[in-house]
Amino acid sequence: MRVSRGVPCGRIVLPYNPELFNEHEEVIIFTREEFKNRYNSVMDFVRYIFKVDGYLKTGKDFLLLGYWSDIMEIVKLIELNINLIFDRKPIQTCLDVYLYGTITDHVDVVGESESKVPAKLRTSIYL
Amino acid sequence: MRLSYGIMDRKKILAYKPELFHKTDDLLIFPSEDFNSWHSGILEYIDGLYQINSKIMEKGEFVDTMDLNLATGVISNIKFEIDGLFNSKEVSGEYYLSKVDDKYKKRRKSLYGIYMQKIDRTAPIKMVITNKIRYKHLIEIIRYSEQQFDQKYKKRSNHTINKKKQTKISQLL
Repeated sequence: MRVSRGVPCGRIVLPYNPELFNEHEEVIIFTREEFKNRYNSVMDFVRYIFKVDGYLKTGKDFLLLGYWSDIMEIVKLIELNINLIFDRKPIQTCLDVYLYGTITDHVDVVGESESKVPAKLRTSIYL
Repeated sequence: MRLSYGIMDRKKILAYKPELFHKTDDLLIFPSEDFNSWHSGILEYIDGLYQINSKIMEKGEFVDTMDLNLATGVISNIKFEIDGLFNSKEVSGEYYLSKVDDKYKKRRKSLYGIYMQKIDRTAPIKMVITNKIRYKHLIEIIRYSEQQFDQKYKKRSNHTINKKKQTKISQLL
């Protein structure tokens, strides 16, 4: 998939390689640390299932009945981790900056002087 | 998790919710359509795993090794998808390459003929400095200095000759 890293700069995000994306294409922006946490946890669970599979295939098939519930539990955990990507709530387990309080949408308070600015100028402020 | 959508605009991205990110944050940017399809694809695979489980529960039978093989097959598919997120190259195993295709038959030209000079000119990246190379380098410096010295000497001699000529001409006049 097309991925690029970036840096926030006020309202704008500056991508390191913008040539990957088309003009006026919608993009999703994540913070790298949080995404890394989710990605690594999913990969760890998948690796664990492969390990269990390898262990059972060394002539220990009779343990399968016990391990099946374990595998299904991990599948549930993978689903939870993948659903957390689109979850807006702060993640308490990773001890982020957002330990206290929830993320709220920013409410812009428009000043008086801004209402007098003509429409053409307003676009050129952040371009 | 903190996430916001955005729109590309002249090599910059206008984020819908820029207040979520700190100044020092490192960001990852995906095209939203591709990312959503990736996300839903993985969820579909997980749904398949639940279906395998429910089938076993319905029958009331014990789990076989065949069921385990099916489950690991689905999980390996999930792993391919997750690996493919950061690989720009697509997985080669999924695409069939026919030998009848004209592209396959075409003989690829090597670019050495066109860019011969450029390729030959590139220096090796890691050079081990031996005594021989050091000696060569010294001699090159000496020759360069000799050349420059010669040129200066010639210029000077020309200058003096011109002056002498001028004086002679002036005397004659």
